[in-house]
Amino acid sequence: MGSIVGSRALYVVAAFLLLVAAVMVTGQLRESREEPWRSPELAKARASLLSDPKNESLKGAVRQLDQDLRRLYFRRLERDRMGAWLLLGSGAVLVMLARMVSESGRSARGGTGRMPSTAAGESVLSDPRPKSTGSDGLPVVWAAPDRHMTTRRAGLTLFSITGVWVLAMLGMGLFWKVRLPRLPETAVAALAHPESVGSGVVTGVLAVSAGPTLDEQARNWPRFRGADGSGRVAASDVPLLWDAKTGTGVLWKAALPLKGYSSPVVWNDRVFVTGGNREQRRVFAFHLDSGEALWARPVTPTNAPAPAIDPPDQSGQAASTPATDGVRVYAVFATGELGALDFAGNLVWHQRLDFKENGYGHAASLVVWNDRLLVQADQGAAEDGKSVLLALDTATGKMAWTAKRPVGGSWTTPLVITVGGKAQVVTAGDPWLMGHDVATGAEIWRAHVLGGELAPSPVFGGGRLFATSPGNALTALAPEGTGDITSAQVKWKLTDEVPDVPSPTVVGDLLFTANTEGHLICRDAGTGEKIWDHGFELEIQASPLVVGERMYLFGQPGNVMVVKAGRAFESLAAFEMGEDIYATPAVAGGRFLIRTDRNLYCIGASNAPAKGETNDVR
Amino acid sequence: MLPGPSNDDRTSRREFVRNGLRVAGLTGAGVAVGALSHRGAAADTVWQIDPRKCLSCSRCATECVLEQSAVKCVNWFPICGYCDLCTGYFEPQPIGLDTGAENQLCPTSAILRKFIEDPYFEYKIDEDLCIGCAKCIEGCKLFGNGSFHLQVRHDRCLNCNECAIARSCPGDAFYRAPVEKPYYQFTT
Amino acid sequence: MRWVNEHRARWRGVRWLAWVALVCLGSGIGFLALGEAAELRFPPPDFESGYSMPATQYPSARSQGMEWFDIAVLLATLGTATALVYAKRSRTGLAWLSGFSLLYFGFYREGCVCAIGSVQNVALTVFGTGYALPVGVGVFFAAPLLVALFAGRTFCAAVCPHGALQDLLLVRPVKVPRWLESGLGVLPFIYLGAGVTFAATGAAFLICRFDPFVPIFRLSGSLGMLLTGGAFLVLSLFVGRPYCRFLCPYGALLKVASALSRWRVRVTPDVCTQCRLCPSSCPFGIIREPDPGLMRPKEVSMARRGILVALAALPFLVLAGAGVGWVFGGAAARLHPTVALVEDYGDSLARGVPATPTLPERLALDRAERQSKDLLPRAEELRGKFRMGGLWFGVWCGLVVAMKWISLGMVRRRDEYQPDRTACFACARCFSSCPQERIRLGWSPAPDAVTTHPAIAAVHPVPSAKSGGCGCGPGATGGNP
Repeated sequence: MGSIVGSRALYVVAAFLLLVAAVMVTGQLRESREEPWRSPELAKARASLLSDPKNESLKGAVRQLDQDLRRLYFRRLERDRMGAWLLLGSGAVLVMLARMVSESGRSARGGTGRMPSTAAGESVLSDPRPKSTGSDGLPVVWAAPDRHMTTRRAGLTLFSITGVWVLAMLGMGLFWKVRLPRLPETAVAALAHPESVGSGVVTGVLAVSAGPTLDEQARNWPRFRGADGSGRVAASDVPLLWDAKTGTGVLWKAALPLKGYSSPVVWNDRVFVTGGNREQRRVFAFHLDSGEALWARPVTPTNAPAPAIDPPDQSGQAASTPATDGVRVYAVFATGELGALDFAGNLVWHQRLDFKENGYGHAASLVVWNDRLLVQADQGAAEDGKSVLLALDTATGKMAWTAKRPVGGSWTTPLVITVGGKAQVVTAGDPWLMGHDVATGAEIWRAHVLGGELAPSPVFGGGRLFATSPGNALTALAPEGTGDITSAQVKWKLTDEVPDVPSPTVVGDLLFTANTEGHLICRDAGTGEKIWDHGFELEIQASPLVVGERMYLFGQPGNVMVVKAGRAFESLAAFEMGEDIYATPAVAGGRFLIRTDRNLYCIGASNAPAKGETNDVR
Repeated sequence: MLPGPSNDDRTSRREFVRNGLRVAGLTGAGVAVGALSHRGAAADTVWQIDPRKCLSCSRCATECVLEQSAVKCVNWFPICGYCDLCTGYFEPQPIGLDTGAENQLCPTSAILRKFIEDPYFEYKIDEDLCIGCAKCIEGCKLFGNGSFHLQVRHDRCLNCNECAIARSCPGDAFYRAPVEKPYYQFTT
Repeated sequence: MRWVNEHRARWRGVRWLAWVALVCLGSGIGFLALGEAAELRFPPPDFESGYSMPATQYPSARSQGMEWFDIAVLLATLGTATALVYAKRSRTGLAWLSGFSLLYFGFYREGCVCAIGSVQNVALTVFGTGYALPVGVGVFFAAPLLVALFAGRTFCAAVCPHGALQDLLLVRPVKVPRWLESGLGVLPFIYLGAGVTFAATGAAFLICRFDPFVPIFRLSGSLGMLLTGGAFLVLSLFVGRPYCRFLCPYGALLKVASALSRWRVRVTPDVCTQCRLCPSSCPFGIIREPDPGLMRPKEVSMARRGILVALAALPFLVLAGAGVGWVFGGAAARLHPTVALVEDYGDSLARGVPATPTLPERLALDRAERQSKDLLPRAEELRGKFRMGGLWFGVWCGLVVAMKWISLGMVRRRDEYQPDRTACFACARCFSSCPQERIRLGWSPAPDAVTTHPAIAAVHPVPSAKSGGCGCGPGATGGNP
C-alpha cells in the first residue's frame, strides 16, 4: 500500500518539478523583453519625450513604465532564485520518494532489502531467490562471462571511440580556418623592439641615391611647405586676387569627401590630398589641369579596421601631409597606416606603424630624400622611449634605418638641409632639436631649445635654423658641430611673441612669424629684433607662403591677406574665400592649391595656364 | 583493523611491485611538492578589474556565471567631482537635472543622488540594484573624473578558476589580484 | 547590446559637454588628452558645509583562514570516509557523510575549490609561467591521491560533492554492459589529457567550464550548462555515477593511484563463500567474479598474441596520435582568448569590422589593432605552444589507447568475488549483501564452519557446506576443472 501512495506522491512531485522547470525556462527565454534597458517601449517613450520635453503626461508615463520594468526585472530575479530552490527541494523529495518506492517494490517482490534494518536478517541465507535476478532486481551474470566476447566488444568500443576522436581532431585541425594575420614587417618589428635597433645604426643597405633631382623638386610641391620646407617659391605668376564666390581666378574646384588638415602636394599634373575619418582613410588624386578626380585609395590593401586611435576632430586622422617623389605618393594617417601608391593609384607597399601613444594623433608630415622616406614618429613622453625617426626605402617600404629619439611627442615636420656638403635631417622634438645624418640615421648634434607641445616645424635660412617652442622660445641656431651644441651654437633666443601653430618663414635676412591670433611679426633673422608687426585680428592656422615678394596669409575663416615680404609692412590685398582654411596651401606651376574644409581649389591666372609636364605613369 | 594484503604467493609478487610503485609515486609526489614550493610561495589570488583598461562594453553585466553579476559599479569619492551635471548619472541630453526616471542613465536606478551644498551632489551606488552594465562608467570616464569604475565585489564573486567575464573581456582588463589587495587602488 | 550603442551615439552628439571638458585648450592642435586620474577634469570640491566624504565600501574576499578551514574539512572528511569504509564498514555512515560533503563542498562552497579542477591548476603551475599554486588547491589535489595510494578511492565514496550528488540520486541502477564500460573507460584519461593540455597552455580551464554539476551547486549558470547538468542528474537516477565513471579526469588519476593502493576495499574481510550475491549489489558493476585465469594453452597463446600485437601497435598509435595532435593543436589554439582575438583581427583585416564602434567585438578588435605589435607575436608563440601541446596530447591519447588495448589481453587469476580496485568508489553498498558480513555483524546467525575454518578457503575455494547453505545453485564457476 505504501508503495502505491509513494508512487502517487512521486508523480505529483515529478509534475510539480516539471512545472517549475517549465516556468523557469520560459522565464529565461522571455528575459530579454523584461529587462528595463532592453525595452523598445521605454526607448521609444524616452525618445518622444526628448522631442517634447515639456509634455508632463509623457514624462509621467516614462516614469511609470520605467518603474514597472524595474519592478518586473527584480521580481524575475526573485522568482528565479525561488524557482532554483524549489527545483532543488522538489528534486530531493522526488529522489527520496523514488528510492522509497523502489525499495518497497523490491520487498513486495520478495527480495531482500539492502538495509539490514528493513530486511529480516535470517531470510538472507535461506532466501530462495530466482537465480536470474539479484537483490536489486538486476540481471546477474552468473556464469563466468565469455571473456573473449567481452574483450572483443570492449576493443571495438575502444577503437570506435578512438576513431571518432581522431577524426574529430583531424577534421578540426585540417578544416578549421587558421587566420592568424601575417606578422608585421620590419618597421613594426623595429617599433616593437626599439632597443634592438641601436641609435643611428644602419640596418639596411644604403642604395645609390635615386630620386628626383633638386630641380624637379623645386618645380613641384612634393611635401609640406614645398620642396625645401620653407614655404617659399621664386617669383611666379600666381594671381594676387581671386574670388571663390564668383569663380574669378578659380581654375577648378573639387569636393573633398573626407576631412583632413593635411596640405595638398603637387607633382607635374597630379595633385594629391589625404582625408580620413574613423571608418576610412584615403589618398585622393586629381588632375592639376582639369581638376578631374582620378582616384581615391586607402594605403592598406583592404580598408583595415579603424583602430581605437581616435584623435580629436581638430587634428583628425589625416593631419600629415603626404609626400611624393614623382613615382609614388606616400601617405601616413594617425592610425599608423603608412603606404605608397603609384600615380595610377596602385598600392606599392604598406606598413603599419604604432602611433598609439600620440595623444592628438600623428601629424608630422612625410619627407622624401632621394630614395628614403623619412617618418618622424614621436609620441609619448621622452622617458617612454617611444619616439623614433624612421627611414624607409621608397621603393619597397623596407626599413633602411631607425634612430631612437630621446624626445616626447611632437607634431612637427622634419627638414632635410645640407650643411658642409652633407645632408642632415633636422627634427624638432620635446626637448631636443636634433640633426641626424640622413644617409645613416646617426645623430650629429642636438640642442636643448624646445619644450612642450610642438606644432611649428623648424625652418632653415641663411645658415640658421629657426626652431619654435610655442609660448616658450624662438631660437636661432647654427647647425654646426657635433654633440650637444646648445651653448655653442645658439645665436639668439626670444621668449616673447613666440608663434604657436603656423611655422615661421625666412625671406632673405627677414624672419616672419604668424600666430593663431593673427599677429604677424617681421624680425631680423640675424638678431631676432622685431622690425614691424601687424595684427590681422583673425585666426590663422595655416603657415604663410611666400611667392616672390608677396607673402600670402590664409586666415582660418577663409580670409586671404597678401602683404609685401619686406622690411616695411605693406598690405597688398585682403579678401575672403568664404570657406574655412586650416591647411597650408601648395604652389606649383603658377597655381595655388588651396584646401578648405570642404573643397580643393585650384587658383591661377585663367588666361595663362602653365602646362604641367605630362607625367608618365610608371 | 585494516585488512592486510593476501598471503597468497602469487599475489605477494604483485604486492611487491605495487609497493615499489607506491613508494616511487610517493617519492615523485615529494619531489613535485619540493619543486613547486621552490617556485615561490603562492599567494591566493582573486579576480579584479583594472579600470584603466576597462572599455565599458557592458559584458560584465551579462557574462558572469552568477545571475546578478559579481561586478558592480563603485564610486571612489576622493576623485569624484560631485558635479551637478554628473555625466555618469544623467542621460546625454537630460530634460532637467533632477532624479526623474527620464533623466537617469542607470537602467536600474542604482545611483543615489544627494544634494550636499551648492553646487555639489553626492552619488552613491546601491549595489543590490547595480547590474554592472557600465553605462554610468562610460559617461564618467568620457567627460568626468572617472571616479565611477567597475570592480569585482568579493562578497559576491565565487572566484572561479577561470572567470567567464575575463575570458570575454574585450579590453583584457581582468587580472588576478593578490588576496591582500583585492581591489584596484587609485594613485593620486 | 543595442542600447549601449544608441547611448554612445547620443553621447557623441553632445558637443557642448565636450566643449566644457575642452576648456583648457591651448594651441590649434592642442587638445585634452585622456589622461590618468592624476589630472582631474573637475577638481574635487572643498566642502564648506562640514560634509564628510563617505568611505567607499570594499567587502573583503573570503579570508585565508577559511581556506585552512576548507583544508581541515577535506582532511577530516577524507579520514572519516576511510574509516567508514575500512573500520566501520558502514554504508549508512557513508551516505550521511556524502550528504554532508554535498552540502559543504557542493552547495556551500559552490563546487570551488575542488579536486577535479585542481588538476588544471597543477598543470598551469608546472607548465605555465607566472602562476603559483595556492596551498589549498595543492592540498585538494594531493590529499585524495595520497589516500588513494593507501586506501583506494575513499575520496569518491563520500568526500567529492560531484560523486555524492550522483550517488545519492541513484534510484534504479541499470547495468552498463561490461564491454561498453571497458571501452568508455578511456574517456576520462583523454579528458584528463585535454584538460591538462589546455590548462598548461593557459588557454582554458575546460574541466571547470564544462563541469555539469557546478552550475547546479550555484543555482545559476548558462542555460546550456544548466540543462547539461540537469541531463546528468536525470541520467544519474538510472546509471550509477555517470560522470565519475565515464568522464571524471581526476577519477582517472585516482584509478592509477588506487591500482597501487596498499589496502583494497573487500566485500568481506572474511572468506568469500562465492555466494554470488555481491555483484548485483554493486550499481557500478565492478565486482569481478572469481576467475581461474588463463588455463588452456590456446587461450594463453591468443592472449599473448593480442598483447604482442598491441605492443607492436603502440609506437604507431603514439606516432599517429602525435601527428593528429599536431594538426589539431593549431586549430585548438583558438580556445586561447589571445589567439582567438588575433585570428578575428586577421579576419577583420580581410573582411572589415563591425560598423558599430562600441560593440564589444569591435572594441576587442580595436585593442588588437592597438596592441598588434605585442599580440601578433604572442599569438604566434601560443600557436606554437599549442602545436606542441597538441602533439603531447596526441602521444598521451595513443598511449592511453595502447595501454587499454594491452590490458584487454591481460587476465588475472581471482579466487574470490572482489571489487575492481581501480574502479571501486568504495561506496560500501556491497558489504551488507555479503552473507559473511551479515554474520560478522550479527545480522544473520552464524552457521558453523564459515568463520571458524578460514584455511578451508585456500585448500578448497568452494566448501560444500556453504554451497548447500547458500542455496544458490551450482558452484562451478570458481572451481578447478
